[in-house]
Amino acid sequence: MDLTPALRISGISKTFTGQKALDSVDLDVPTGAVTALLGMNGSGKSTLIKILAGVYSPDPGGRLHVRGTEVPLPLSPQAAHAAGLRFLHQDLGLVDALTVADNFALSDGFAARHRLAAVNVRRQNEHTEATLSLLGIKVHPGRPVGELSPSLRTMVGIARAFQPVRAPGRDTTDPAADGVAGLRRNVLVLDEPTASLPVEDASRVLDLIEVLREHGGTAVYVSHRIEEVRRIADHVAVLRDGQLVAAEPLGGRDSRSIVSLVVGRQLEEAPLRSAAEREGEVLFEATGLTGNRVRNLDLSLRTGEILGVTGLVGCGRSELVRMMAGAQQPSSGTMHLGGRPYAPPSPAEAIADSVACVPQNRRRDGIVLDMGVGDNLTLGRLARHTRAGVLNRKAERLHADQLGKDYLVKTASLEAPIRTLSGGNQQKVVVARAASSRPSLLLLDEPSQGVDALARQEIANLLRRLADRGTAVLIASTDHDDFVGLADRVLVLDRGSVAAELSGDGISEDNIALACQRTAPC
Amino acid sequence: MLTTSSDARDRSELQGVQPPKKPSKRRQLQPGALMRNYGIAVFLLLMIAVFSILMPTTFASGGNFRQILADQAVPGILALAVILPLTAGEFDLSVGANLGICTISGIVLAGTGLPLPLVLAATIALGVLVGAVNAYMTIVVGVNAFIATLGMATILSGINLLLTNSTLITHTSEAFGALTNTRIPGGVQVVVFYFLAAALALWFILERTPYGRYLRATGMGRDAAELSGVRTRGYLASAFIGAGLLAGIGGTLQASRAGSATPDLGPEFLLPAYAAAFLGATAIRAGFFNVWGTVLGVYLLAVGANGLDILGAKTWVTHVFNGVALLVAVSAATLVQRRKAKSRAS
Repeated sequence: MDLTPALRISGISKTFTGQKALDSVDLDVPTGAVTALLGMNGSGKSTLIKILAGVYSPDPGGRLHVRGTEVPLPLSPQAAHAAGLRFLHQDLGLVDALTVADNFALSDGFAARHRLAAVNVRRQNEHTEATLSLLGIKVHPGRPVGELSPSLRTMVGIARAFQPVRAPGRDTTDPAADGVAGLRRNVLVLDEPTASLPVEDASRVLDLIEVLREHGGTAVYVSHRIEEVRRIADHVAVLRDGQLVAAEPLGGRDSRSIVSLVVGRQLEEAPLRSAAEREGEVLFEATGLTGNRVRNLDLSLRTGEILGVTGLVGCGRSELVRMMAGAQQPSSGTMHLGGRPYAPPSPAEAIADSVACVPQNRRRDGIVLDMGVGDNLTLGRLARHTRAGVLNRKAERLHADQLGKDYLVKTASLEAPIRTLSGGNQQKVVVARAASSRPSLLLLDEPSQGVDALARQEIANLLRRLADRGTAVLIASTDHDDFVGLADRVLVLDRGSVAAELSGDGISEDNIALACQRTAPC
Repeated sequence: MLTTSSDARDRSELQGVQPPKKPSKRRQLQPGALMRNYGIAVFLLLMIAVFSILMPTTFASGGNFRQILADQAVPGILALAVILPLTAGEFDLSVGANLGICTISGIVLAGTGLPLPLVLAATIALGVLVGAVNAYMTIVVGVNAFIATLGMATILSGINLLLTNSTLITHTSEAFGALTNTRIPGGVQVVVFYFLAAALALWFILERTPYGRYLRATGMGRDAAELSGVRTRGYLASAFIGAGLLAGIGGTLQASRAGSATPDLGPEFLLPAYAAAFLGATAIRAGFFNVWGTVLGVYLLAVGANGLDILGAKTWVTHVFNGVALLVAVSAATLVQRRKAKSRAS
């Protein structure tokens, strides 16, 4: 065991226009271990990572040692790379059109004598294959990255980070030994690598990180998913308001104590409702719903009910939501809403029928990134502020402002582009917009993706309040945390139809996970 | 951002009852913001001042200013036409050729002795039809708009050769000519008034109606807009048809004003229109295609060309000026945007 810390960060601060984003942070990242870096959005996590990556310059005075050698600050991205720091973000920085081997080469040099010499494809594939097989990743180096599943892509991204740097023209005879050397040398910083992956895909990625550690690799792992942290981290480092508030071995901490460490206080949870309160009228019914991964699915929802829908990848969860939201058409089967046939040809019709949706891919489907927070809040809902085709801007702004307040959106102003908001606040905007048309049925697909613990709790409380007012809420998610303490019932889907139903006290992480696993093909 | 000081401020704001914060007037008076939004206007005024000092009698004459205003009315309307598809996130490369075919048809129809209102209606309808075919091809068939409208432009230039029999054509209808050449009080040709009316109408539609907001959303985030209940296909179609309508109006006015047309008329209007629209996106509402910025862009390019022309500069100088003005303005806007993004990355 190497006792020199892989990274020693001493006295690093960062000030943005008078505000301290990082306040004299001292942190040792131990070698050959996984350190979870935790903190809510705005705690300074990403600022720290961007300083290490050479994107931001820290305030003068801080120092950085990589494996005992001082590296001068500020870093450039090239210097960070040369020092063996590797970064993996949610968008993996892989080029879809290129092969796995070419993507490796983009980061670490092509197998060619010089820049204009022909690439030795065979040798390059060998090198890539060596690293991949060392990590037990079964993928051919010649396959285009675009063809790979999301989890494989993430794994390829991770493997690439441990590829040894190869100078053009230099060739080694032992790629495997090189691979191990690269593993031991580099420090990988993973920034929410699993945020957009369903649970079982994420699990595969976590397996890989465990393999890395066995080979002596060092990783810094950033995630909002506490369960993942408990599973793979050896150490936790927690940032709060730019200060390091904890750096210690994980030990036997449970989820709750980790969350309170991150948030700095105990979370309040909405009380569970009693069974009697849940009895509403049947609002929505689907019979024999079929089409695009959904097969012969029956479902009913009562007013004021919160229904969770989960299952493994490809179980038809998202497709079900899209059909109910009018974004996709079923090939057969019927839906009824409030006793009347319901078959919306487009989302606009669904909204007119009082069914609103919070889509899965927030940055693409949920918000218009370059438009203001206010414009996003009222997008698609301007009709009520329109007289004779003219928009009453004052009324619209007032409405947007009210929505922002009601849904606890934290923003400098309504005119600020929504891309400047944290993930949690962006999601509150989408929820606020969906709820603003007073839907009788609100659909949410993976509502907690990239949302920090506090915002997540706030959104859960908002959903509870909507349900209390009679809105039926359907939450499709692979993150079972979304259901516990919130959902009245949870349906587990398998290959497009309902395989199991949990309700009341039966809804726990373990039970849901168990039900999902039972549906897994063995 | 949970407990930073600005956040504390945000929270108190969220809990308070004061009306939503309007974009503060104070901020717009800062020199940086002023240059960001009015850089082109300042540059235009500067250029007028310099040319006026250099050529106090020729450039700085009422006659010359009136001429510039009138000459740019039709190119200006075409620049307005391209704003619509650009706002919806698509290129329409057929507006130049569309203007050409409408000009030529206007002249041909005026020669047949049809009543004037009918001539006007028919030529404008032709422009709308071209826009509708573009919309059909891109939205229903699903051809990339760049290709679909390029194909349309090529077809139209072919038809123009057919309609003109490959020679210069003219019309002699005085009533048709009077439609644009009549002078309104102040001595300006009435065509300038049409341009301003079109600009005002488009500004209102884009900035003051839900239509404009949804069109922008369609351009900036189509999937999100669709799932928020915006019928994006309809908005996209309307953008192409609107562009066709404006090109048709531009063509009709061109026919009336020029009284003649060469068979290759049209395509040379296309690039200046896009140049003005992109210049315009750096002003007034920087970062967005917008009407008044585009109007400024049109006149910026025109004043530059006119001034250099009167100064006796060779034609190539004017071309170089136009290109440099466009690149400088758009680069400056990009740099400002990047700096802004960096400063708020905190």
